[in-house]
Amino acid sequence: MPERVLVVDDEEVVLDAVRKALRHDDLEIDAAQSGAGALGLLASRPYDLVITDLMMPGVDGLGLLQRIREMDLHPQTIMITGYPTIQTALRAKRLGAFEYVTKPFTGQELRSVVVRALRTPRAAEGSPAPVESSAPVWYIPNHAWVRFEPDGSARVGVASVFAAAAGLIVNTKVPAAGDLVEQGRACALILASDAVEHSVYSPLSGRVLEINQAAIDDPRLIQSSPEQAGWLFRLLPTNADKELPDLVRR
Amino acid sequence: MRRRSAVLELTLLTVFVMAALPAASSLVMLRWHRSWLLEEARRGLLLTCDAVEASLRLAMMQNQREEIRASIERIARRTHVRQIRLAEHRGRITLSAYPEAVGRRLALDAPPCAVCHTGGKPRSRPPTSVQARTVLDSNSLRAFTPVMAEPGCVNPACHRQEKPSGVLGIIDISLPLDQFERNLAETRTWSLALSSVSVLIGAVVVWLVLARRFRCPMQDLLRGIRRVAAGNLTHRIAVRSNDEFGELAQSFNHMSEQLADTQQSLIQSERLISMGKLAAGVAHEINNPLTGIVAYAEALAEDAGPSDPRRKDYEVILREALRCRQIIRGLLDFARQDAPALVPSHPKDLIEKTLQVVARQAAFRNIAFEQHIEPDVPLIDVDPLQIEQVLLNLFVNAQQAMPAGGRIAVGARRAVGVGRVELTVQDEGTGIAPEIRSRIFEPFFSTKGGRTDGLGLAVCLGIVQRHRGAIEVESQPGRGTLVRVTLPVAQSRQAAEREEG
Repeated sequence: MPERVLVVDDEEVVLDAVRKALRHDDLEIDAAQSGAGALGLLASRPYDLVITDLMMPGVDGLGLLQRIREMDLHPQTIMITGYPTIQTALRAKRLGAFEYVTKPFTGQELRSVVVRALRTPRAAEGSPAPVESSAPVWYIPNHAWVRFEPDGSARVGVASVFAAAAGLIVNTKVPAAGDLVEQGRACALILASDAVEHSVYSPLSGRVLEINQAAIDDPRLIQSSPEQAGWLFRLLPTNADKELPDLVRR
Repeated sequence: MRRRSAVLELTLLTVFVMAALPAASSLVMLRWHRSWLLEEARRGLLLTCDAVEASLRLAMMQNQREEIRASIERIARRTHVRQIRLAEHRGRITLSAYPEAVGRRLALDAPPCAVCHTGGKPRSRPPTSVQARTVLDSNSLRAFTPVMAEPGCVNPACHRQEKPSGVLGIIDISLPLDQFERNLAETRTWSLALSSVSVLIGAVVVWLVLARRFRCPMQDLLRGIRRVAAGNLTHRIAVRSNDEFGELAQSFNHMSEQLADTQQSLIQSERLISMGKLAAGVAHEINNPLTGIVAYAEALAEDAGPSDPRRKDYEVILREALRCRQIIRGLLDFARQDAPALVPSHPKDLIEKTLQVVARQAAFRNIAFEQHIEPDVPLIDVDPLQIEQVLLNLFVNAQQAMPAGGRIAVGARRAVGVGRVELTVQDEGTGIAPEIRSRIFEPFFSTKGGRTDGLGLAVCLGIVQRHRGAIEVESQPGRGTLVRVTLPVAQSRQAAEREEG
């Protein structure tokens, strides 16, 4: 039975873009052009996934997310956000949204997120298996983690949920040492065996100090130990004080 | 209210001081001169009087009255003496150069008789002092010589058998003072005239000097201030002298330059801010249509078979749409204008970190870096990441100006003046043509034809301005470009501690 997806955006062209991106997947797609319309549909039938614009007149993305909670519904939710409102998207994730994708997106970018959302068991939503660790770990829920080292630098990697949902990882692309990365923006790529490229968002802004060559050389390390040996790179955070509140501490 | 003229006031004050003091002193001098002249006149007149008495003595002894009268008339006529009289000891005038006076009596209680005739018995020995024997009237000077009895004075025709003794009478002459007063008045007039003329000349000289030294610079300054107030910040005042006014003019010019610089940087930052806002708005509006273009182009490219000639076209649409997305993201990053998180940082660290970044890039393979970092260059209050971004952009520009490779000199030193550090990046590349130099900081201004986003220098300017710094460019086409970034020296206690450490 195909999974049911509800797409919400006040612009027809974005709804079309989502339909086009997902047209080869076996999905049943409904569309709504407002938060209110979406709530009507949500009340009438169950959905596995809701893809919604964050900024809409009337009930916006965050409002919709909250109403879904209040209706005791549990679809996965993906926020479509503009580039300047990534911080809002991070907040949405803290409130339980599964993932966000920045506009304008390619089909590939949207599909990778949809694929992971549908593959992630909803029970595990936003709660990666706790890992024994002396240092505290901060998460972009379902996505990436960051752990501080004693020297003030921090290691970054993908969350277990992310690695599991991506499937068999065959290749990775990480930034070079010296590069600048920004919180919430794509900083690395994980290529899965099903040819889906997953963007990895950086949990913090900073300058990359070192990459984990072992994990680059052997992506199985990421697969088997995403939150320990499979870390991707180490960075020197530049704005941690302001950015940490947008993450979830475990 | 009528405008007061400081130059006029100063001139008048100077003239007043110049005129009043000499006027007072010459007044005193004139008085002193007059009394000195009078003293001389008294002596002279007394001498004349004594001479007349001596010359008439023989005739008096012989009682030759006609001879005496003829003599005194002659003297009175031929000299400046006005009157010559002989009076006997009780005051009766016995002989006079003017006969109508004969027989009148002199008042014994008035000068000159009073000298001897005060009290009861007249003095038998008359005084000899000049003061006592001369009298100053309102318009004449009088002198008398006592005629003393001598052993030969026994002529009965004169003394009626009395044995004459003591003072027999006086010879009294008077000198008119009108000529004397006229001379004095003339002297006064001349000296007044001469001093007035010299004061007038002095006044003109003072006025000219004041006008040249004060009024011209003042008017220059006033004109300058009006021009600047009217918005003409390029107006400069001529520095005429090497004194306070010169300094004032220089300060004024310096102030105008600073104002122009500030205005320029305000305009630039205002322009950046408004462009940033505009860009953010445009980017927001473009997001949705671009999402559609990307999705449809992807779908078309995917649907076209591998042999379909249109497939390449669809891919071009997709590629260019994604380039638009990249441009917009660059623009939004630029418009976001993060406030710098200031940390006291060492310029050497900033430069070296940036050099590490470019060292790995292929484009910099043919570039040799030279560092000129002063050993005692102070810490600066900057956001290290943002300033490294500035340096990186400048390095990239320098490299792109030298496609065949070359040398980039990076410098750091304490700036002239206080509290600033200068970071410099100098290349030996193609340079910047003068006609585009004013535009290079504009967002999207690029000479590199789409190879870059045209935001590099605009980003630099934005960052530097948020650091309260300045960025300037010197360039010689064909010779190279020097970019100078000026940033504030670290103020915090932390910095002091670090320097000590």
